[in-house]
Amino acid sequence: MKHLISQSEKDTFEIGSDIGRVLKAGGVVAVCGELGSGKTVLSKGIAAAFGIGGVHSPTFTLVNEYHGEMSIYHFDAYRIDTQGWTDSGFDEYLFGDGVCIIEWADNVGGILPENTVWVHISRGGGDDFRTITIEGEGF
Amino acid sequence: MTHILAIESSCDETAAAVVACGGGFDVKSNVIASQIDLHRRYGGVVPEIASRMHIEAVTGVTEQALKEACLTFDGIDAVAVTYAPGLVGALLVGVGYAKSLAFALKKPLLAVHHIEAHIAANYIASPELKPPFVCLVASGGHATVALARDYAEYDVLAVTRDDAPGEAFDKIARVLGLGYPGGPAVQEAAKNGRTDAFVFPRVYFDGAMDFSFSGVKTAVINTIHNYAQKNLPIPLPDIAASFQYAVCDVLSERLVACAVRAGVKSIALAGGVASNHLLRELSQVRAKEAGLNFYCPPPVLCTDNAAMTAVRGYFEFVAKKFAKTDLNAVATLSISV
Repeated sequence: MKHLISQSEKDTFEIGSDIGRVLKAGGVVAVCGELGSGKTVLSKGIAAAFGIGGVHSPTFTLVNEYHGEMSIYHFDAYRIDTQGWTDSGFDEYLFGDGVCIIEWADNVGGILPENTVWVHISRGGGDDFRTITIEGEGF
Repeated sequence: MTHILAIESSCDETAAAVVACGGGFDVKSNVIASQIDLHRRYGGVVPEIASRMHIEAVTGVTEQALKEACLTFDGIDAVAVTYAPGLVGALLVGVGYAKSLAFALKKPLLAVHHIEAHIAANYIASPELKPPFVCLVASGGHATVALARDYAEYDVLAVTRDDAPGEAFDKIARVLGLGYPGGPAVQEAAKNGRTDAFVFPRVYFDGAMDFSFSGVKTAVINTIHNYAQKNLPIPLPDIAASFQYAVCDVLSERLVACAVRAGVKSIALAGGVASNHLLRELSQVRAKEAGLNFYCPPPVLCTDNAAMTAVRGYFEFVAKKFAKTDLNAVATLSISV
């Protein structure tokens, strides 16, 4: 398990890129943290490790797909549970050819595969200060 | 006159409308079945629920639209449908229904892009408006500034790089405990607040007119946290007013700047967030300062509706651009060129 400190949006982005660099096809990253903690920024960093830009919030559509040197599937699970996840056919993404990034993954934690990398972002000690813990394969 | 029957199901409203087109747009009926009450307890639209509700509602809503227009299926000249962008499961219901209808009735099928339909709502409300003009489409899922070069030709001038403005309103309303949907809730809470109580950040990008609303969202949350940590009462009206001002300030400023850069004479608003009073007011004031005409549809045409879909579909009809039965729903699709 890794404990990291982020003091800025840029730090969070780069931690995301570091995570992205060790991910392979079929990788899953579960991102947890309250509203405004930097989940989407971290996701942008992960995508950037694969040369993918233009990543934006998946809140409205629940999943955004990006295709580059790696396919990135970016989810927002805030409004769904494991049943909703399965009903929406999202399982198919998990065992596919790309990398899945799941924000609010706590809501669907029970059904994520064993190789899932869990990232927890928490606030504390100043507006921009974040503690980021990473656990899972490769960390 | 050409009578277009339109179906819209891209998010949480099942809508059908009949519009008589040609020499202006006469909205014969505009029926909207909203699912807001069902989604309220989840704090947002739940796609699976949305799709099921669309299936249950679409036939009744369409029949109602025909009835209110005093028409039967025989009196329809074409069927228009929103096919992108939106929740794919929700879009599929409308697309599937419209395709079957067009096929069974042997009428042309018109595929409509949702964002372009929002822009077209302005033609209903303001018959004098003609391209070119620059329009901001702001809603729960979208933030796009587009140049309408012609009735069916658009260039995207700016988009959001993270959250849509309506989404930012929803998230802040969630944190402030104001409920869903966030736009009207924040607007109401802001009524007794000062817009200058807090200065929340405005994000600008070098060389691009794009938006970013995640920074303002985080700044608002930080402010709330700071009050909570000090055990002070949270100044809810001031936070709501200052947040709403920060979002509307950027949206209106960028809209006018895009219009000036594009060299057009008119600006317009569209989408659910265009119902926000402050956004309308700031856009109007800034348009006047810049010597631009300002247009904005009434709230019923800002929210998702099918009358706007019919109008955008009419331009496809005129151009004889008919969709085939292999038309599919697309979740993410940029505006057409």
